[in-house]
Amino acid sequence: MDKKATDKLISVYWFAILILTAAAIVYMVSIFYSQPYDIRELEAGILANKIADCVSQAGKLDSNLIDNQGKFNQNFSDNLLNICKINFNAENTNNWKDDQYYFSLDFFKVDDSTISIFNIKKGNLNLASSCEIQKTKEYIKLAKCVEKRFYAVGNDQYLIKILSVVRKTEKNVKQS
Amino acid sequence: MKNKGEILVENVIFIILNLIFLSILVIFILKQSSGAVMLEDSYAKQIALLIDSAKPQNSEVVIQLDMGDGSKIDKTWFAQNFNRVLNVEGSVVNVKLSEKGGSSYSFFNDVAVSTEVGPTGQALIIIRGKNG
Repeated sequence: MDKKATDKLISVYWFAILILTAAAIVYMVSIFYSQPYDIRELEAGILANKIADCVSQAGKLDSNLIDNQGKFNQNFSDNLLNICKINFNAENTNNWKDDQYYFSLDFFKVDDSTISIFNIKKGNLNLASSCEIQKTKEYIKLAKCVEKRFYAVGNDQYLIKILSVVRKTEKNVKQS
Repeated sequence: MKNKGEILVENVIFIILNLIFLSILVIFILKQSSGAVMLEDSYAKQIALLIDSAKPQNSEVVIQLDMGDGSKIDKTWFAQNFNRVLNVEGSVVNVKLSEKGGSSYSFFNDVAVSTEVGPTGQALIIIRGKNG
């Protein structure tokens, strides 16, 4: 093979490499940017913080949470969404029926964190199962769960566990 | 045998072609990262998160957001419709950067929100407690 033919071969080979590289970059960039931002974990974290701020301020349980007899106030529990200024209305899309959020709030005695002495649950209870399933492995299409724990003082000392869950899968995960 | 002039021209063409190739790739990546769909989705979610995090209590929270990148998507449309770019209905943030597009995202914080967007893309989000 003479020098001219070798040069031509190298140039064809070089452009083939360039086209392959370009195709790979275009494919990867398209895949990357076609994924929507997934903010569900952030949302669930903010929701958990909001509930925590609502039931306990500076380490003290909200005075309305416990009644005069030292028992947890059921009225506070029933109106928690109003008291904490939480609104579970989601946009009317993808057959969502205001069922994209869930949270549970459990109160434990400090010396026994296995038995919940008071519990508040709000939102779509079906979403709680997503957290159970994802204890060992995360599944992107299931709802995102965030759990927070903290201590607060009322008439006694309590350990409070908040589990907040946000679904909104259609808006945060690419639908295939 | 090639003379020196021929070698120079070949190399220059080769370098120019490579530069064109790289420029096209960079432009493609920049276009992808600043596309209308991408920006609408990102603005709607950012604003929903900002509203969720706000604690207006008895006062009001004013958030300034630069939506300048969004104003570059369709400059003529933006200049004529900047007051339609961002609105909050109930608990849903709607962002629209072109006639055909639009993205929405809901927030859970039960607050009253009003918005204002200027022709340059400077957005003001005013959050008030519902009782205050």
